[in-house]
Amino acid sequence: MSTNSYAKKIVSVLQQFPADTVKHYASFKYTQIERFCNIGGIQVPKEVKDEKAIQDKKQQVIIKLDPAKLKRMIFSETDEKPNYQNNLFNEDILKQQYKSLKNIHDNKWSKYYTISNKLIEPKGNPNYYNRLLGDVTKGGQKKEGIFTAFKTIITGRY
Amino acid sequence: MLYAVGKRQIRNNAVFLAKRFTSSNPSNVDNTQTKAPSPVELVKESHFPKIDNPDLPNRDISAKAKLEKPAYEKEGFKVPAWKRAFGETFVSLFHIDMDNVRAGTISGSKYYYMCKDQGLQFTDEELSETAKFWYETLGLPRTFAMWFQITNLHVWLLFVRMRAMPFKIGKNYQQKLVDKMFKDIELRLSEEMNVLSGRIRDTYMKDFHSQMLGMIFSLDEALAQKNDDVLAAAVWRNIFNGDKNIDIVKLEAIVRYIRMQLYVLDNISDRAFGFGDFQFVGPNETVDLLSEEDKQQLLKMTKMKYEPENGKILPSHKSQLSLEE
Repeated sequence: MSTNSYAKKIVSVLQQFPADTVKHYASFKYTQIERFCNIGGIQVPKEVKDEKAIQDKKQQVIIKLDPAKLKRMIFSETDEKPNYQNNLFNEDILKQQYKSLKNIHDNKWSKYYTISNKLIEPKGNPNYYNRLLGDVTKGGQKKEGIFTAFKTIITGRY
Repeated sequence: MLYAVGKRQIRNNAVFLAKRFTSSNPSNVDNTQTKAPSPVELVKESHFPKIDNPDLPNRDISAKAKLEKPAYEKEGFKVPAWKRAFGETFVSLFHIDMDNVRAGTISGSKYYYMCKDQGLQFTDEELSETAKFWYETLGLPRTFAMWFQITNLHVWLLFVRMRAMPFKIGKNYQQKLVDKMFKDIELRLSEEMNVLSGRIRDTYMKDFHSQMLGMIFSLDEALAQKNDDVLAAAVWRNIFNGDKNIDIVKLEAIVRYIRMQLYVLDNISDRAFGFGDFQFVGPNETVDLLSEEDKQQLLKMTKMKYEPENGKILPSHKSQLSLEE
């Protein structure tokens, strides 16, 4: 198989990754899809481009004065792209990368080292992870009622 | 206890691994049913070229002065017999709650030192066995911030286990661990990093605090979702600083490292963990899966150590912590 086909495989696995529930400074899924599309010479999917456009727009709002950008505008340099060093990649390396990514996606290690409910539903605070997930899936927007809030503050449990 | 069993298993495993990797048959390596390679071996198999990340600060400041290890942190430290006897009398006379005291001596001291030593490094000094994995094998920058992230990862691993202890005791253990960590960071900033202004030190500490909250949240989320994809993304953001040119084999190695530690933490009883019988498995070691018999044996050994039949329990060894779970 050529480097192109391995890159395609990697991208297809990456596309199955869940999107971040909370916005972070960078998204593993989207940055890596972009990178491997670049390495394999594949067209970047539309969803990734859209996501990047949204992120860029946000950045523009946050950083109003960017010296590098001003410099670029004045000296009219072309927009520099991240350097993925495509020439360093060969079939063997991409095959390894694909294998590792597949292992991660298939939960190889969490299946190998299975943990019991002791850690997932800790007896000191059985609802801890459920509450966390409940909040995360609602984007951290869920409001807590006054009584449950008092209960949380007084007992320290969730 | 578990560590003793773990060690024995690791030794068996090492022989097996040596055999497996010297064999010329590559189909053996792919077999997931056999013993797992250690994180170090996983990374060393990778042929990924070295790509520098220009966004990453990689400038290490040499420490102004190195913090001396306190006497009780050194190996082979023993409390004199008369102090021990005095302590036992004191505990039994005033009915001291030893589970409360132990939070400070085990979690706030022993466990914190363990976390801290994983990634501790000084410029121009040889790295410890575990630090070699983080800085040489994984190629992470040798900086103070990186040391903090590595320490934080290990603190989180202990947090996961502490949540499974009885609520009051577990919370106390967590509190003591965090308290000690920030006390140590402040001391390191002023003594080693030469940050003399208290105000600037405070700003750094607030920064470290929000980093800690972020990291613990992401890792908790990954654990709750039972998904390695989320865990890998959290590790990528927090340990690899969101490096675009990441070697995914390294990412897999850390995911494997975390899962291995959680497996050991899952199999250790509250009593053994609370008494400081846990040690992190080194990145160049690997843990074999325990059979049902091994687990029973482990429980038996824990019981024999802490509550021997027809044996007296010292006042300082009394505890509410469970021997079974």
